[in-house]
Amino acid sequence: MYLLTDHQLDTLRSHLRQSAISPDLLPELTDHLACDLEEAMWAGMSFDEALPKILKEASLDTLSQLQEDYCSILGLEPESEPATLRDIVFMNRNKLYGAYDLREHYTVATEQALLWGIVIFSVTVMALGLHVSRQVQRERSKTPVRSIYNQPIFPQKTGSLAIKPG
Amino acid sequence: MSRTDSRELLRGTLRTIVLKLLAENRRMYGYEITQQVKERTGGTITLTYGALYPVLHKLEEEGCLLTETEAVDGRLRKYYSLTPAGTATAQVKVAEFERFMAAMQALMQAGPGIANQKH
Repeated sequence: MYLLTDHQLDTLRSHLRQSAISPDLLPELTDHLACDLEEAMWAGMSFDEALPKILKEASLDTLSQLQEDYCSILGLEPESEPATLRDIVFMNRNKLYGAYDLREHYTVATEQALLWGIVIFSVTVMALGLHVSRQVQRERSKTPVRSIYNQPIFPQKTGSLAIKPG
Repeated sequence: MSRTDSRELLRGTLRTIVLKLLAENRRMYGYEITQQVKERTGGTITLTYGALYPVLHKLEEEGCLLTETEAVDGRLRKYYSLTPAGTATAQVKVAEFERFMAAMQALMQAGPGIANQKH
């Protein structure tokens, strides 16, 4: 069996990198085409003869069609939207363990948290207010109606406080 | 049979083919699967990588397949093997397909048979 050199593999990789193939698929496709190449070379072709033949089959059009099929079979959204910063951060990383989801739903989560915060806070304040005012009313009704408001606070002794001129 | 026709027929059976092959071999990588299909069908059926890898990834996502990635000859190679759930699915799928083939065979032979019985 003929084995491709690192340099030959790099030539193949640089072609595949030009296509829209997703990172999930790239290593396998590289291996597959490398196997194809090695078989062709084992059958007697030189690398320079075999490479165009393999790449013709795996043209950029074919590869982008493959990527589309891949997305539709796996139920992924085709990446028609421009990549966000989040996509760039998570490129070639595990998106399944939670951080990607967290970041993706960050805006919605924040808005919801704010809304719930406002609702819970105002309900608490209103409930406390209601409780306090009831308590006050109850206390008032308990005390006998000897209201202090009817009595003057400072009983006026008009005579003593009158300022005498000179 | 034209190339597009056979591709249409293949589409529904690709999962069964993959599961069946993996049930027979402990673990395989993509290229190995296409080669074995080509060999065993005498070249009648050739799986393209375009058809194969989406199905493999889909089966993996569904929990039928386990994968191991190894560095081989300066590149990464992904080996697939069946999970217990995958083995069960393989048995169901193969049995289903055998029933289907028997039914198709009966259907294909029935035409002239019925015509003969009438006269």
